[in-house]
Amino acid sequence: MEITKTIERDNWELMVPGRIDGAAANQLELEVLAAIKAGAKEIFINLSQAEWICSAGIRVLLQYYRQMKTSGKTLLVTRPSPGISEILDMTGFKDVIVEGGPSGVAR
Amino acid sequence: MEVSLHHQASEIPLVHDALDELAARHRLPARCVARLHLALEEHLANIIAHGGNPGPAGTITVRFALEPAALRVEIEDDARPFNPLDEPAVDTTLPLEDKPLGGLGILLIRKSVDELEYRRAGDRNVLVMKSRLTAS
Repeated sequence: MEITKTIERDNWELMVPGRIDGAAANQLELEVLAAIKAGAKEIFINLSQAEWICSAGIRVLLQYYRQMKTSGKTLLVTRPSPGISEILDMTGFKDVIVEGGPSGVAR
Repeated sequence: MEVSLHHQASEIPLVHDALDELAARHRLPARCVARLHLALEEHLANIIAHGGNPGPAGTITVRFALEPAALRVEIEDDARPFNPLDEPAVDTTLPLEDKPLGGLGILLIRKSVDELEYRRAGDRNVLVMKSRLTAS
């Protein structure tokens, strides 16, 4: 699985395609950490091409959503595919970490 | 169809590959298959991370059986006794700050398949997942 990065100043988009299994979740965490280290103020995780996401992947999203929020920055999921949307909904996190949700922000 | 693996996360893809092959051969509905992949990933990752690794001799065996309207997957392991169905349900309605990050895997398993059954057979755990093969 290859994560594609699009960087515009402090705004990073990470496009994560396919199946987000345990190994892909580790890879995503490394990319998010690299973005934070590089000074990203907004990190958008584009899941439009993702098929499913396991709990380890969801934990990465939540952990860094919280961490970024605490320091006044943003990490959100954008354009979740129908499969991803359904999984996030099952866990009760969809409204929180998907862009445009009640606590999300519009771009 | 049967796949055996050691207690190593790097071997989990063998099970995904077997399910892909079965799904392609029988043209199984994509949504059911995706959900089964997720349930398998969660259960296998749990066994490997929390089962007390029995070492190189330890094995996990996954058997797939196609029934008239369902796919039955049996996962048998020699890790310590663990019935995932005994785990308390996660409250998904709590505000984010109070939400525990543990227990998500078992929640996803429960919500991804239609039937779950656990039994202890000798010194092995057996979890059976059944997914109805509906297109929607």
